[in-house]
Amino acid sequence: MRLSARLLVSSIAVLEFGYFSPRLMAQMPEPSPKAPQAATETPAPSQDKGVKGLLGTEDNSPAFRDVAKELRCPTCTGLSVLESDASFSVQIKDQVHEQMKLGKSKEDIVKYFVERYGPWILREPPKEGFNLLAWAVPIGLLVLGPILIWLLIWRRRVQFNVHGVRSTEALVHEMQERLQAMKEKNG
Amino acid sequence: MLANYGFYLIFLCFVCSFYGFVSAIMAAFWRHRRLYNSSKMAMTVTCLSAVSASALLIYAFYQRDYSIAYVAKNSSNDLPPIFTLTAFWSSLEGSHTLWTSLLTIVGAVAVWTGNKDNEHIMPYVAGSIHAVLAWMFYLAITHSDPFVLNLPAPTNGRGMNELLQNIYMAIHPPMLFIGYTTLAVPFAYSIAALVYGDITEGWLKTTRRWTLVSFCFLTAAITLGGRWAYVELGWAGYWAWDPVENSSFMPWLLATALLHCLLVQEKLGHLKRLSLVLGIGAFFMCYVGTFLTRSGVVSSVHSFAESPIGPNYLIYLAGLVLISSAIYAFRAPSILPADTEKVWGVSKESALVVTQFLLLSFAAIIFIGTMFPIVSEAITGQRISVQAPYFNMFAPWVGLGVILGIAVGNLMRYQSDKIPYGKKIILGAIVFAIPVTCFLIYMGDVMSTKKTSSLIAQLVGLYLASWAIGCLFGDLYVKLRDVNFKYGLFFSRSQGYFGGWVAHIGMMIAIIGFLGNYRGMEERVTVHAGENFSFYGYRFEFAKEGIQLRQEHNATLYTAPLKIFRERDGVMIEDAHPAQSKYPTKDQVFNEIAITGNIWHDIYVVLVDFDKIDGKRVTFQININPTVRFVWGAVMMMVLGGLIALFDKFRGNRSRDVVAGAWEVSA
Repeated sequence: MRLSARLLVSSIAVLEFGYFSPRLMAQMPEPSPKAPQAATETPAPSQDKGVKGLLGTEDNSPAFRDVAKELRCPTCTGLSVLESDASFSVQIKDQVHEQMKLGKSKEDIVKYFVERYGPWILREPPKEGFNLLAWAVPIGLLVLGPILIWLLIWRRRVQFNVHGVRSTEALVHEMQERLQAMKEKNG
Repeated sequence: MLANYGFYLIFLCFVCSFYGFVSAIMAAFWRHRRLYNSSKMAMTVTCLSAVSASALLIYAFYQRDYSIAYVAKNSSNDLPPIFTLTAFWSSLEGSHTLWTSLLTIVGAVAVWTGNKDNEHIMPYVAGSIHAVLAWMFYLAITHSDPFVLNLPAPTNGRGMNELLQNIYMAIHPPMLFIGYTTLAVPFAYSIAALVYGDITEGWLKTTRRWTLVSFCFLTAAITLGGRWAYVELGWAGYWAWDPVENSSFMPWLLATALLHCLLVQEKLGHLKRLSLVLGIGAFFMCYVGTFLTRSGVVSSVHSFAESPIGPNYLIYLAGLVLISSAIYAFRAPSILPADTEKVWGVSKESALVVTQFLLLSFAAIIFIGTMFPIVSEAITGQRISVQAPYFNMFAPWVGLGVILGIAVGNLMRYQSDKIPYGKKIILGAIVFAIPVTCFLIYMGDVMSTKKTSSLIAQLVGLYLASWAIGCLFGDLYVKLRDVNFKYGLFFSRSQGYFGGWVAHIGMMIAIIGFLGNYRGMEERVTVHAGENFSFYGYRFEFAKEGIQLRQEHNATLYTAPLKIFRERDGVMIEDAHPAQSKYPTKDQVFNEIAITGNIWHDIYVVLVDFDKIDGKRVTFQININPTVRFVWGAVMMMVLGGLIALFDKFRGNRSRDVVAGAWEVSA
């Protein structure tokens, strides 16, 4: 029997989904069009190695971790393949090992996976095209927000300094009183 | 039989809440007191029958009445008693029932404890809660009826989700739902204030109380959820930024922002409209979260159409936004900005605005991150993932802002651009932070971090957090000196401030705890029975007998006994039993994690795999997780702070000084 220690565990990692929605399992993203092809390409021995991989320590190498933590576990929500032992993750980890044995650099391996599975396999949106928005908006918010607040307060302070310690309401009130006084005076 | 009664009760709830909604609106329109009382009664009846329906469902669980589909699906004969109770909310229909029942209780309490100062807006309050309830009961009847029959009744159920058979999952959902439902009260009061066209005398006090209750429950619930992930899922972390976690975090951020906004409103009378918007927004976020998790829209836009509950939630959310913003657009001008002479200045009120900015922009970033895959797929057709690395990119900057805001903002005073003893406190804290940081670095073994950027982030973070703690202590000292160290007087007069102080210290300790994530360590080791290995100053000894079998309740455990010794003095610190468990109703295997260690780091041991034939060869994964216990402790402090602030008798009273009596202290 294929032992999948954390298979389900991590695949239901959506945790509260557990009680929120029993449908979660059905909602697992279907692999992108290229994925099945990738799965069939994976030779059978590699599958075996996947199981043995759990009984090995080759996952400890820092170079491997560096790559594996950038790829998402296809069947979990929120975890990298490094953090997951779901069968799909184990397959991907095996592929990473294979690629590393070919002597490829981190960039090349990441590119290899993006070509196979699409940018979906990366844990953060690629910084290009429409996806730039996901990066630009938060940065803009964090940078422009304080400036905006500072300007607003500064504007208030300018008013404050020009008019002394009086609020707008007080000023309006005062002007109305003066107007009233002028009216009375004039007639 | 039971099922029929249950369904009748839920139907009665729907009818009553709908009637309550209509009668409350008419009562408000005609200013008809008895009609309003009738609406109040409708709320009470709704509450009673919803609670009875829940009780019936729980009864069915204990009777193992598998003629009810929900019971058959989520429990089995061998389920232990405690989990038989929690199986009630272990799946969609039950958690919906729990949520609605809690909301009826909150509604009834809110209506019956309505302050006399809020008399004029109470019909609107009741109406808003009734409207939400009516919709939720409609949903319960049409799409998530827990009393659907399953005949003929099977002799055994399918069993509860094994992952949820955990004590944290027993407490977490009810607490989270209490947190969500109590936010309904600030929401109802905000809508009521808008429709009525004014903020009534008792508005602030009531809203503040309920928001604080919600804050305490949400804080505790989010952490319990994290703790559950930590002890149950086996990936050695407690926060993965996944959509479900995010959707419980966003209401927390908004509720916290609301608390700070109410503070400005109380002291100066400014930011009233922002309070109203936040009150509505926080509640809205609870439903956004539920929508995200229940409709399945998170995993793919396409799965959204398949679930019937998704479109319903979407209609509800759209309706909520439309109605709320329409009410706001028409009525907000009648909420007058500030009826005081208080002028805005570069002082504590500005610091509080910065706080709100940070909390809200963090909520916005999380919202964008959570929704972006959906939007991107809908617009470009390309599927992308937004996961932890994205959020971890922005979180430290928000954290930095929070530290600076808490440190300096607490020292500032309202309506004054001078900080009393400012230089002394800030400089003192700079000096104070040096030994504290050194202590933390030494005890936490920070210098062992391998990556330079992580090391720098930790050093800066630890220093600034300890500096902020120094500033907070300095501020407390100054405030105490103002009252000549009369502690009783200080506590009775500044209980709210003190609660906030405790919560802020907790926040700083939590940040120190979060920084530990930068230096976590991980190692996979394969050993034979009787062998031992060393890692991070500990010696791990795997028992000679190899894997052992054990039966616990309904689970079969494959345990790998692992003795952990401290290398320095050879003392055994733990006889750990990491295991894999197998439940009779499922084919999968689950991890039982062994966690030990001290306050500075947890040793987290997962049994990854073992030789199925003789059980003599196993693979462990050992994680060293620094300062995780800081986080748990810090969150308890934050909840404690919230509770202290909650029982401040005078906060929120306009006539505070009258109530409190003359509290001037002679110097």
